[in-house]
This record gives sequence, structure tokens and C-alpha cells, in this order.
Amino acid sequence: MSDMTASESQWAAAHVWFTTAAALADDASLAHGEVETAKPLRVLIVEDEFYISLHTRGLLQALGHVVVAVAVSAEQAVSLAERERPDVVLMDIRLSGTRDGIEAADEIGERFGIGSIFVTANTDHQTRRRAEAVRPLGFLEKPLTEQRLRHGLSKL
Amino acid sequence: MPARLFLNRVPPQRIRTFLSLFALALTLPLLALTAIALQRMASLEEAEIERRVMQVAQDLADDVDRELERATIILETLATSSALARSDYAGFHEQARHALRRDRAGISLVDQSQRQLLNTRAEFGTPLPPISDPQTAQRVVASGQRQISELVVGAVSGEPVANVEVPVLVGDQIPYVLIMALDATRFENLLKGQRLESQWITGITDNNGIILARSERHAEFVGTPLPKELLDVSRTAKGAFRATSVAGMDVLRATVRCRIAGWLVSATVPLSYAEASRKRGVNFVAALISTAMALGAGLAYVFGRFMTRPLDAATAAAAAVGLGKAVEPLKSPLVEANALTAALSTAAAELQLRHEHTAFLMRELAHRAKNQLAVVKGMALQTARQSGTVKQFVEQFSQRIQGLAESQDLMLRQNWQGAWLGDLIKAHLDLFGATTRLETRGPALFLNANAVQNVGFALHELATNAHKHGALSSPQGRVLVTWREAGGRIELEWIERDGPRVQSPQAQGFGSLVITELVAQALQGEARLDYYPTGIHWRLDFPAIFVLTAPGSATATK
Repeated sequence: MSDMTASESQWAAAHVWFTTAAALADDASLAHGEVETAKPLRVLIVEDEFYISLHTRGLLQALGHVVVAVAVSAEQAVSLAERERPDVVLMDIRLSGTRDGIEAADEIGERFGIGSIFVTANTDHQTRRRAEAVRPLGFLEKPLTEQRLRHGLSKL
Repeated sequence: MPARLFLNRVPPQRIRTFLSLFALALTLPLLALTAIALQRMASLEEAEIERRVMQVAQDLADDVDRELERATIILETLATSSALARSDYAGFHEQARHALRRDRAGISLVDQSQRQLLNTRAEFGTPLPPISDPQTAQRVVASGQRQISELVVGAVSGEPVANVEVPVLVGDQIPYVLIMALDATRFENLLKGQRLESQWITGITDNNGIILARSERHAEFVGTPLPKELLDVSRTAKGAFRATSVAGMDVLRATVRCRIAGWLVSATVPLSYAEASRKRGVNFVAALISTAMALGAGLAYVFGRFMTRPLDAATAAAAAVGLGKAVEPLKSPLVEANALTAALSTAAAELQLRHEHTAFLMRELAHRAKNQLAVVKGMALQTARQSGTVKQFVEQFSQRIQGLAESQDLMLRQNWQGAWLGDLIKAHLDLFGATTRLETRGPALFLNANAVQNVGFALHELATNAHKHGALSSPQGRVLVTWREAGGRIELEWIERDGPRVQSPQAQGFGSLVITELVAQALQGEARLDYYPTGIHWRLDFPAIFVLTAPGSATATK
């Protein structure tokens, strides 16, 4: 479960459960039996709601991608991007802490040349403009579906 | 209250109307007082004029009497003339002419048969006509005393005259009557001699009611009768009275009967003159009232504008507030309007802030709702993965949704800023009806929304486990939750006691993943779960950045 977190060694207690959970794909992909194998991507998830990030992880794995880490704050996102060098970052805009996902995406793009896809709920115009200014790879609407995610990642 | 009742019945009025009424209310009593004062002054002046009219009439009557007395004295002196005693008529004629000098009069001497023996108006020896007024001479003879005639036309002069006649006594006999014919113009001169103002008209009327003399238009009126009505009033009235003069003018008139002849001597002033003072007063008051009214109305208009302009501006400001526009406080001369617009300005700003806040909340709510749906979706899928049956899924999923709802409820009460940790713990245990078996210890800590959500997830899983397998599954079991803040970190502990004996589980479910890893990771902290025989012991350690110093001091996160 090296792909779960930055400090996974502390979480030994969860290994048994998580092995089971990670082996399962999202309901939708299970039903269709589809596994995306064309171009596996290494993905960094930035999302502070674990129920959502678990769901996203499931969808990504079902599509054949690899989740390199999950970050819950902008700072964590930057440091994990630096360490893991993912192909793409799925970035939530609203994060706890002083900086938001737009700033994190900007810094990650600037410093490591890694693009971000913003995953967000309703966004007001001002935030949308700010987000567009950092030239993201795309926008995905919450809650994510397999279809949306596949479509969003297919352009890469 | 009466004022209110009155105002309720009256339709709304403009400010200037009320100001006009105010001006009227102020000035009318003063005007009324002025009118009364002027009225009194006019009355006094009128009384003075009446007194003067009476006085003039009385003075004239005295003058007439004096005139008649003078004539009498002349006649009585002539009656003792030695020339007459000698029947020297030519000498007496000369004597009589001398006595009259330039008086407008004539003296004649008549004998017992009323025949004129001489007349100073004619040269001595000229044949003379019979006298025009034999009755008076007869009365002189009959009474042996002086008699005054009414107005007659002189036999020689042909002019209107009044005669003063005295007897000439010789022994017991009255062989002659001596007559002085006083020209009516003599009385006219007497009247004119008073030197009164031009408005004054005086007159003498004889006992037949015939005008004997008049200070004005004498020639026109002499010999004409006084109108009967005027004559009657003149005879009976005491003091001054209002009447219509013989010339048809409304006058104030006083009549005095002269003592010797019994003639009516009158003095009149035109009523317009007598009442000039009153009229002046009336005019003055009328002018005063008009001026006051005009001034009051004008000032009411000016002051009304003074007030309505700022009020109109205030009304416009109020309308602007209604349209959600910003309003500048007015700087008018009217303090009240300024205060009103200042209040409106504040209200407009407040309204704008609220509008912005509402818009912000709406956006927040939309975002939260959608984000929360994503959370619920994830929650449903994770719950489904660990549920063996649909029944189990429904049970677990509804409990997790309920737990989420508890956390949301608390945050809703704090305007989505977060919640107090103590409240959060109680809420999640209350879901299992276990607050009486809960003991909490810790300082007041206000967690932000993200922390509330995540700590809430952990508390929910812990309470669910305690209810199913742990301390809350037996009657004696207790739960102690403590927390403290130290070194920029929060340490939260969940300790179960007196429940069933605990053994380490073979495999761990999703619940323990939540409390040991997922929540800790979301809060950038660490968690540890220990299975002691006396009960489980869970510890969560996370940075204090998730704590707000006071509710409302930080922006919402999620």
C-alpha cells in the first residue's frame, strides 16, 4: 500500500483492511468489467474529504491508473508532487489551510511542470477565472463518475 | 388624544399648511387684541366727537341768545328815546340808524294799528308797506313784553329775517312796537364765525321747522322746511344722534334749543368724519391681517420648502435603499432630515452587506451541498463494500448519514464556521442515547468545519463500535473523552471502561480504518488505537490549525 499516503508506515493497523478495499474497484467498473489499460497514469489526488478521495482512488484504479499519493492540503500537495513526480494531479480547489488548490496547482506547474485537473463542486465566477489563469489541464465536476474521469484523463 | 382624533379625521396635509396654521395660530390672537384696542380707541374718539358736536351746538345756541339779547338791549334803549317821546320820527329814524351802524338789520316802528311809521332800511318819509308779520307785534301789544318772530320775509328788504320786537311804553299805554329785523345772513355769519373745520355744518331752525340759517349753502336752504323726520328727531333727541341731513348726507347731529327764541340750533359732522377713526382702525386691522396672512403664508412656503426639500431628498434616499443602491448622508440645514438620511445610509450599507453575505451564503450552500453529495456518494460506496447484505448496508449507511447530519446540525448553528468540540462529542453519543454514560474533560475548543466533519466521522465510528461491541454494549460501561491543547497540537482521547472484556480483533473493518488512518490523514495528524482488556483506548493528535480562536473569526473552509 505504498501508494496510499506519505507516512504510511505509521498506519500498519489498517493494512489488512485496506488490502481488501484497494483490491476492489468502483461499483460501476465492476459491473462493466472494464479496465483501462491503454495508458496508465501516475496520479496525485489532492482532496481533504477522505470519503471523496477513497471514491476517486477506486475510480482511478478501475481505469488502470496508479494513485501515487493523497494530499489533504496545498503544502502537502506540493511536497508530494515533488517527491512522487506524478503524471497529473487531481486537485480539489477548496482545501483546509491558508492556501487553496489553485495556488498549489500553480506552484506544482511552475516548479515541476506537472499539470492539474481541478475537481470541484459549484464554482463561482471569480474562483473559476482564477483557476483558469493557472492553465489547468481541465475541470471535473463533483461528484466524480467513472465516465467523467475517463473523459477528463483521456486527453492526456 | 383629542389632537390625535382630530388629526386622524383630517386628510394628510403638506408641511406648509401646518406652518400656515401655526403662523395663524400665533398671529390671530395678537390681531384680535389689536382690533379690540383699535375698537376701543375708535369708540373713545367717537364719544369725543359726539361731545364736541353737543358742545358746538350749545355754544351756538348761547351765541344766538346773546345776539337776540343784544338786539333787545338796542331796542329797549331806543324805546326810551326822547325823540320818540316827542314824536320826532325823523330824529328817531336818525337815532335808530345810528344805533344799528353796520349791522345787517333794520329797525322799524309800528303804531297800534300795525302801520309802519318809519324803517331804517328806507329813507325817512318814504311810503312804507304793511309789516309782513303783524302777529308777533300783536303778541307784543297783548303781552307788553318782548317777542321774537319766526323766519319771515322782510316787508321792506324782501330778505328772510327774524324779528325781535319790544313794546314802547308811555304810561300804561303801548302806543308803538319797536321791531328789529335781523337778516338771516346775520345768523349765517354767526354760524360761520365759529371757525370749525370744513366738515362741520351748523344750522338754525325756527319753531315752524323752517331753516333760518345754515353755515353751508345758506342761500340754498334758508326758508326751506327741515324734513319732518329730521325735525321730529331734533326736537326730541337728547345728545348726539345719527341722521340724514337736509342736504341728504349721513351725519352725526346734535340739537340744542336756544333759550330766548326756542329755535333749534344744530351742529353736524358727516358720519364718515365721525367714524373716520373707526374706519381707519378697521382698515388698519384689515391691512394688518392681510399682511400677517401674506407674511405667514409666505414664510410658511419658504420654511416649508426649507423642510420639504431635505425631506424629498430623504424620500429619494429611502427609495434608493429600496432599490439596493448606496445612499450618501444628506448635508441639509434640517437636522432631522440629515439624521434620517444618515440612518438610511447606514441601512443601505447594512443591506448591501447582508445582500453580499446572503449571496456568499448561497454560493457556500451550493458548494457545500454538492461537495457533501460527493462525500455521501463516497460514503455509500465504502459502506456498500463492507456490507454483506442489503439490510446491513441500509443500517450502516443510515447511521453514517445520521452521524454526518449531527455534525452538520452543529455547524449550521454556528453559521457554518465550525462547532465546539464538547458539543460534537455529546451529539454523536446522543445518537446512541448514551450521553449519561459519557464523561468529557477538556477546554473549550472551537473546531473549524473541516475538523468538525472529520472528528465527527471518527466519533461516529467509535460510538457505533462502543454501542455494538464496546463499553456502551453493557449497562455498566462508560466512555471518557478528554482533550487538551498543547504545543500547537490538539490531543483527543477516547477511553472505554467497565464494558465487556476486549480482545484484539483478527481483522479490522472500515470503521477502524476511519479512526486510525483516514481521519488522522485528513487532519494531518496521527491516530492510535489500543485494545486494553478494560476497553479500547483511542488517541488522535492533530495540529491546532484546525482550531478557531473564536467562532466567526475565520473564513469557512468546506
